Amino acid sequence: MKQQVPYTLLTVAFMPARSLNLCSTSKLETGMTELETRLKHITGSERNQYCHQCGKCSSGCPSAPFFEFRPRKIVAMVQLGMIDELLESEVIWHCAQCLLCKERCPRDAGPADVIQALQNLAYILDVHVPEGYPSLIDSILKNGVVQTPRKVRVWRELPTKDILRREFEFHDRLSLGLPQLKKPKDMQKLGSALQEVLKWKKG
Amino acid sequence: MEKRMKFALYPGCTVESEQYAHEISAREVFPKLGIQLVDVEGFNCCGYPLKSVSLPAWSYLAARNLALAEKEGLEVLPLCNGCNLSFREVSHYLEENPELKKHVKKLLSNEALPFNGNVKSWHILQVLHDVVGIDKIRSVVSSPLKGLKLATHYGCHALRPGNFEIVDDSEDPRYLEELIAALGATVEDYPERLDCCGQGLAITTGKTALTISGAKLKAIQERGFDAVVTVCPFCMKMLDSKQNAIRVTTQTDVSLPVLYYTQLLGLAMGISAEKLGLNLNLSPVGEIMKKLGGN
Repeated sequence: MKQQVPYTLLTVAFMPARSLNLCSTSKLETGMTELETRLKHITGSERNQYCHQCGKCSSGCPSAPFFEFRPRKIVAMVQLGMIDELLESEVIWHCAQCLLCKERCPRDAGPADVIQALQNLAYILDVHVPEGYPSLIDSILKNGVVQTPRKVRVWRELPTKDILRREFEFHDRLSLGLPQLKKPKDMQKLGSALQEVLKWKKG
Repeated sequence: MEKRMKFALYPGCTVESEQYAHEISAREVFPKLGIQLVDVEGFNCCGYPLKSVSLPAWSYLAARNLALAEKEGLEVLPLCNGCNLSFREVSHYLEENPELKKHVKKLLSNEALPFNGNVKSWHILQVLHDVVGIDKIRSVVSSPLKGLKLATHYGCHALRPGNFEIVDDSEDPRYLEELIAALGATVEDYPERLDCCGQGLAITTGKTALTISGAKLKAIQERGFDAVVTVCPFCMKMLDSKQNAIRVTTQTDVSLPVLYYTQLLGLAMGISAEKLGLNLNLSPVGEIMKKLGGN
């Protein structure tokens, strides 16, 4: 992972917008930047503008203790049009998707939705998407599912705290008595449909 | 409430490919509660993993599964919080995005699949609590789980977002507590009860995910609980299956039994541990049996 947003940039996001001259008439004159327009198209709403920076989102966030990840800062930066900086920083990928911020937001600004839209935008623009995602897509294109059945360990005796004594053998669905999976019949149709929908509004 | 006793079983990728204990125990207990599980041909990934990178791709994948169930005239019972959230949300999302809905419907029609967006997805807790009912569950208990003090872990996506088709109160859920109490075990609240398991971070930063899981397990352990009960295979993967990784990576001393509610229910119904897939759990579930005086 690359370095996160320089702290100075995050501090900027907390200054009253007017003092930075970012809410000035110049912005109203030029309208939205291309990135802002695309983000708005993905979110499909302007609810993020309702945020009044109360901080309930960041206070409950499970990622906040570990990273420079604060839903409140991210929403503030989006309001200020700092989308480039967010995509470049990779900070948006530290969301655990627990949805607590969305649940507790008193203004229905949906920080989790804003973050998800930023991630979608990062994928469309191909900026710093974590490696795991392309391989997830490949797997679904190939098999229709994220992963195909694996063999698992089955303990001869139920495990206790004395972990050294565990003996096991490997089993699969069949040997466990589970029915065989009936996967999609026409993977080609599913695959081409998925490829088509992945390009939706990409251009 | 209208009684629905037949559901399309949607195990989801994680359950059907490695978290077999959930599927084994669900297939074991549901028929005994009068719930028929139907296997539908052709299900694909629920789409949830792709939500971060492509909302349109997510909506197509989720809608395709609902369309398959719609074709069979069934409602869906997923064995995963993430899958259920996907199915709960997708109809609303497509309703708000009519242009995309049209596109998705067209893609589905290539496979002769109908999609009207009115197939309900039932969370496993809703089926147990609202369809089967606490009284029925109490009536099938033959070996009450006396003496066990249990902690609940719902998993974020069972509860949030709570703005539509809510499963239970998102800030103070009681379904799982009531379902466990019906089995004769003791269930207590604890401050970390609704904390996330950290799984959502596993794809980008595994160590943080393990730290978050470890912190929750340690808190539960220190509060004197005998075990954790969950309904989500992703949470199970973190809390049950990663205890060794947590010990090694984060130097957190955790060793606590974790099991699915359907496994716990089966034990209370007098079903053997093996038939409930308990020998697939990676956490020390043998401790529960010792406590209950079995095995």
